Amino acid sequence: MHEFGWKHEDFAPFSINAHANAMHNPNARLHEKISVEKFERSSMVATPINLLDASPTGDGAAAMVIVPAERVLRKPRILVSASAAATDTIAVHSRKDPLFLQAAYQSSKRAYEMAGVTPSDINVFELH
Amino acid sequence: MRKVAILGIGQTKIGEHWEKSLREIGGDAAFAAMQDAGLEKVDALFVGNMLSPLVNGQNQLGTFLLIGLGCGNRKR
Repeated sequence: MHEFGWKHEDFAPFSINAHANAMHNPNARLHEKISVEKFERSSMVATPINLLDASPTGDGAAAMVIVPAERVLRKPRILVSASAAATDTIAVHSRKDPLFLQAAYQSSKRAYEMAGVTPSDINVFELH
Repeated sequence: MRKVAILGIGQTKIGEHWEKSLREIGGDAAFAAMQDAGLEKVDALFVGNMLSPLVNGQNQLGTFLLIGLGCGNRKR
């Protein structure tokens, strides 16, 4: 907002879109459409982030069993093609460029190389 | 890297689980994955988590959740 002159309400579409998409997914955390007005009226959590900017609270867990590939008999086999990690400063404001996820870039680059693929080969990105 | 593949998966619904403990939520997902894989036990458990020390006051989730899986002396 400070660097590029965006206003808080310019960020409303992210939340509005996410809430709208959730209406089509029975597993979504919340099922409620919101408007620009509702976004602007919602309580401040940590200025300038308000309640509808922030992730809602939620609990859950997911697990996978990973085994040597030759143990999986059913087809198609889901192989783990690559695994890579990288770190960065905890605080976004400490980074050279707060808008560039350096750790995500480095780790994904290494993972693509390990797997022998490029971003255009990927069908689905699960990002967090 | 050694060639590995996914044998089973499991997950809980994401929401407000006031009636369940951390151990139960984690154990439910891990147990579901083991059932999907057709396994009674695993060789190792690796846990990824954000914020448990802060919101639950609970560190050491690997060992902690092994009990949720019925490993050691406690049966699930």
